[in-house]
Amino acid sequence: MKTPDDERRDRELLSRLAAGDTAVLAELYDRHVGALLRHAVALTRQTAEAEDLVHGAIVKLAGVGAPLLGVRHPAGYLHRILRLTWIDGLRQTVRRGEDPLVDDIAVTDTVDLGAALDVRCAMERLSAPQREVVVLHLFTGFTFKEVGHIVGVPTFTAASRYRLAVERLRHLLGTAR
Amino acid sequence: MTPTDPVEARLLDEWPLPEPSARLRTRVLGAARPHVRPQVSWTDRLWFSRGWRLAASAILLGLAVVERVPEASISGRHDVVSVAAALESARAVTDTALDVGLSVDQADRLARQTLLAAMRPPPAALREDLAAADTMIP
Repeated sequence: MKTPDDERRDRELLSRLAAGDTAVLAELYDRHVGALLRHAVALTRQTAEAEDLVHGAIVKLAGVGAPLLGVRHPAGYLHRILRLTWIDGLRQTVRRGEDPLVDDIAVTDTVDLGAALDVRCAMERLSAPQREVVVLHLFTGFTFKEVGHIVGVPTFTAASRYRLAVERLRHLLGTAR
Repeated sequence: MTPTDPVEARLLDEWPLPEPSARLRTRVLGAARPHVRPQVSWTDRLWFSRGWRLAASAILLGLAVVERVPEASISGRHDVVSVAAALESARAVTDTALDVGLSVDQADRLARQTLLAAMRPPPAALREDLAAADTMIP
């Protein structure tokens, strides 16, 4: 979970990066790679693709330049860059005429739900936007307001998306309340 | 965050968090370094500085307020002058009406009409005529 001191340190690192200090890249990477990779896995479902996405996002961050001076919430900003990189990748895939591996719609349940699925399978059966919200809120600790800002939806939509995802997981995991 | 929901607790306990591979760090840092360039000028620092933006907003607000204050005070002074002149005219009309032998009621009515006419802004054409007449008077 991030603290005000973390945010201050991140802002300082981004300012130095904007000024051309390459040494800060390693610290930025170490501080955020875990959360970024989780987010990337939520979007792509494949660790190898997720690593490529993190790679692309950090390269993009390195070239941003002066606008980094105006970033108020660095963690959310990094996740927004990751998401934009993912969307750019999807657009390029579509332009090349390939099928993008996007699962915007949750997988329809065809298995016997009486037998509870394990957590990994249940997460994979969520749609990408639902999985993304679960990862950002539950695993990374962003508030719904921050999640909404990262994902580009209102706070209420982020919260209801999360609630629906948890309800679906409850159903898939066979956990009675 | 301490989840109270059993599903959230189970997710946190059981979902395998991905670990970045060892070569990812080297790959990312190697690829990102060439993209970093010192691109910050003093205008960028000014533009992206929160303090500068707040100061600029405060200055604009201040200018807007200063712009409005003299207008209000000038128009207020103008109103006071107009009222005094109108009262003076009304008094002169009353005196003249009484001098020519009109009744007090008629003199009051004339004075009231004079006052009302004086309080109404003159039409633009009349204003121009008055201004022209002022320049003709030696």
